[in-house]
Amino acid sequence: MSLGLSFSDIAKEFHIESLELLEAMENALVSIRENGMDDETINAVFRAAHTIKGAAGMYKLEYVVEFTHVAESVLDLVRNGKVAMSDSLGDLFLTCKDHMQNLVEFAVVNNNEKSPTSDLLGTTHTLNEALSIYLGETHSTEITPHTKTPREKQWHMYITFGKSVLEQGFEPASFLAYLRKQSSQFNARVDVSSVPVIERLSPTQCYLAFHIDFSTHISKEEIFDVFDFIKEDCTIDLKEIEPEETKEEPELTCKEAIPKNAPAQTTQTTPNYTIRVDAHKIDQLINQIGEMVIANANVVQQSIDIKNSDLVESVSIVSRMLEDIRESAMQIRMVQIGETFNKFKRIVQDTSKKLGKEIELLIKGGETELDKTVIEKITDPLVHIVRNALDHGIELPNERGEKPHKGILSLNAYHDAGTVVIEISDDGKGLDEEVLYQKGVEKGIIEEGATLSQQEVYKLILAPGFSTAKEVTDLSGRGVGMDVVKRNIEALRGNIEIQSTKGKGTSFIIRLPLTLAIIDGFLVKVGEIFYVIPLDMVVECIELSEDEKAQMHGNNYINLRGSILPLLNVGAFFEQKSAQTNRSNIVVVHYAGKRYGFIVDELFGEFQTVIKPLGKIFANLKGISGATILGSGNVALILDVSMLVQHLLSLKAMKSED
Amino acid sequence: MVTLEEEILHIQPQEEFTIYQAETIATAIMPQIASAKSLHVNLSFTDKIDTAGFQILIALKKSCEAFNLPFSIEGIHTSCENFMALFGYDFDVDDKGVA
Repeated sequence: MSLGLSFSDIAKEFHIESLELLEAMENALVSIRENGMDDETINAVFRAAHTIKGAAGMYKLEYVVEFTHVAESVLDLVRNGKVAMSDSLGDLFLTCKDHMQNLVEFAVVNNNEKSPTSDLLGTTHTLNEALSIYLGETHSTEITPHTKTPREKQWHMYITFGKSVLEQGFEPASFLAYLRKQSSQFNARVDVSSVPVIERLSPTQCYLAFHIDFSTHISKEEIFDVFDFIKEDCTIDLKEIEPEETKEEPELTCKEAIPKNAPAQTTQTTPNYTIRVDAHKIDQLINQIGEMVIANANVVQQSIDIKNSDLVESVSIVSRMLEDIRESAMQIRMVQIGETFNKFKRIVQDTSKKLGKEIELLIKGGETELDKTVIEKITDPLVHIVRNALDHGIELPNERGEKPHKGILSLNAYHDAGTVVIEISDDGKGLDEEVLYQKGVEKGIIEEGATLSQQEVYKLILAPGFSTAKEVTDLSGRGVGMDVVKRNIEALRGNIEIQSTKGKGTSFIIRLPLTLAIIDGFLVKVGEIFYVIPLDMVVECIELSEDEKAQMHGNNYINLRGSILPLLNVGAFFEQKSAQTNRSNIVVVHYAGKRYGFIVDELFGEFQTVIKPLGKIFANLKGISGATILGSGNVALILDVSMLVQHLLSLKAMKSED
Repeated sequence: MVTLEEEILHIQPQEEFTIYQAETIATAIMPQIASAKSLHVNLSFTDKIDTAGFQILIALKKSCEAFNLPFSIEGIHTSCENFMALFGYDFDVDDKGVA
């Protein structure tokens, strides 16, 4: 039978759904390992495996179906109490979950056009063998679900497919075919009463409904899982037909199908259902609102210029509403960091087991929200820091002295003054300043005798090529990674601070902006060009007097209250003419614990900056990280403070060599 | 694919009669159906059908019923027959589906 629907039509959706299910499966398995098994959690694992198998079956991913079926069979035995859950079985299920993910990703990447690689098949074979121990001799990889459990039930379903189902790439026949495969008896009758005459037919819309009588061993919940992909676009009435007692269960709709106590992962029962939206559409919306903010600033300015108080009043109301819309739009991108934190449960469990350490993970502030883009980009750096803490920070149980044998790693997140702070703390051996200093000298990162603050010594571990581990492990200790962590955090306009007490532990404190779309800036002008400096870097502004200019003697620094303040003339850097004025100003910024001054002509103060990326043509432009549009319509360039400071330091180094 | 000969509208989809051809076929039918005295669908070249194709057949049949025009289908390939069997629909039998 040919059903017209190709895998490529649905690959993206299948991939996202599968990853979500696999994540739910991992969370449930980790929870079982932590807190022991209960019916609800093992059912969640089973459901996830079953739904993946069902979806894979519809798109003929036989190698996914066959492997998942074996794992699902063992899970079924566990949830029915026929096989006892153990640590080793939990580990095996987690490995199976990883393998399912690899199989799904292989299918998606290759558009289901290639057979799995020998490596994948080898892993399937190995895991099947491990699983077959639990299945016993009766196990067969052939999928004959209706013979697996004797308890079959008869059902009557009336399903109405939503009009947009076909346009979304779904084929009703695929769902029916899969349900038929799960049934020992199956009889469907199409209801074509809604199909109009040809003159009124929209050929890509779906008008069909079906009466289906079927007998199956799968549960009510699993029947609904068959239609999981279109649950928002179909109406299902499902009635169980009991042959002896003709009493029927109340009608159920798609949203009522899952038991009330089902976990949150099965979204059918959750009243706050979610809608998956392409991130590009949200970016576009935020961008358009940003444009409105800019256009509105122009209107505000004109209303002030006209001096019409009624107009000013009306415009201010619109401005407030616009601000609310902007806040709401930004909120769409906000997600809780808790999901990311939960991923660390398994890392901590697996890694501590591998290292022979006892480590407890404490999570606080999982409900803290930040921009999804920031969360995606911060996950890898967090993994690096956590692995380092597990590997180098927390000691082996017999090396912990008077401290409890079980080490503690804590992840904490909270909002602080418009930023998000993420703390990763361990109660391990802490950082040894002397060892770090010596290692810094050995690696040529610092010179012997250099005076460094405690924070500067700690930050040596973030330098490229730095590693104090005596042995390189497969977890960390290669000296690569922590510098990448620092770079990634700085790329997000964040910063990292390290606090440590020898023998007591270390904390990495990461401070990140709430969003990447808008910053609070400080507006300045050089010549005819406006520039924006990120406000959180600005320390103070001072006037550069003629006396001070004279005292500089052509050098690029001044004496600021007894300290040397290196200066960068922004106009000179960008090779532009300064305004014909005797007055110059210095904006003092702090970066990486030091202060630098930028010489500009005029200061305009705080300015909320909607960041516009620069086009590809400006990709190699040094010193500018983006642009924004002012209320007047003028463009202001956002200074890349990090790059400008690097330029200043390179000038300083060149002068020293001279 | 869609031709009007001697007031009979002949509809003859090619190998596939799916959502990818549905729009084209439906658009070709619309201007000619008013001039037709009967409709004839030949599926003998078609070995792949989906819901969109199936719905066009049903819609054509309903149009014929509305205007009292004869409607006939011939040459249903086994694969298309299987598809209709899954839906519990048989164009040759009166007792079919839910009209």
